[in-house]
Amino acid sequence: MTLNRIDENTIALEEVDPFCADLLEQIVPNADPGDDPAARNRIYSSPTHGADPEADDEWKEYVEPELRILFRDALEVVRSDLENLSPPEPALVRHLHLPLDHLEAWIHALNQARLVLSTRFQFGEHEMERLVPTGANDRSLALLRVHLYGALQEYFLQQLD
Amino acid sequence: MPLTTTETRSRTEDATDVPWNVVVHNDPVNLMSYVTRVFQKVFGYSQERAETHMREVHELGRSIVWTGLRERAEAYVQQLHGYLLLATVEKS
Repeated sequence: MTLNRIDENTIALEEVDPFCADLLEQIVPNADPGDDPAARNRIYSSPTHGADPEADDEWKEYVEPELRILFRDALEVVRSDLENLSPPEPALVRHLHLPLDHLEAWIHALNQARLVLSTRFQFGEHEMERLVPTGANDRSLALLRVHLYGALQEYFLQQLD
Repeated sequence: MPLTTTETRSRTEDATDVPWNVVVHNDPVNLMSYVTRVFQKVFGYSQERAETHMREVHELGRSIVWTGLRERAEAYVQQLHGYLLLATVEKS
């Protein structure tokens, strides 16, 4: 997959092979903490980490619903953009054009997916520094995904500078 | 309604007298460039100041990124959570 700024307002993801297409299509599902309590706690962390239970409860009641809407909206932008990923036939290699003003949503979605994956698989700091995961198990693939999403996030951040 | 009066006074005192810190905690997942950018966006910090706080978070585990009234501190924490940073509010 190659990333190009093709004009002032558009980023092109070109030569998206099947592996990368799957990677992109898994951003939104990977960002969902589901019923995993640790992942949910990471995405919706408390404002006092338990030091002030009353404040934490108020936060859960009043602030969390707003955050849910914010996160849902960002993921919806990504999901909708991915519907424009060119069809896999006749060529296996696909492409996708993204408007620059969608990048904030993409950056959020990529970050959320990385956080959920890292929490689910309990990647520590040391493991996160390992750029090339070893093995072909779920854990290694998740770590690879975290790194590739990070690279994409970094590129999008540069485009907004 | 003495209870209400006490509670009101307490909240007012919290809001006006005691400074509160906005603390950002280390997270090995968030990219350094991302954290720096969030500090610039939320607090309007210069690149240099935002990077200083980012490094503090990374190297020391936490950084006090803002101090002031409780209500505003909580609003900043909410914004930081919107960017998925681990942020808390605490008495200074």
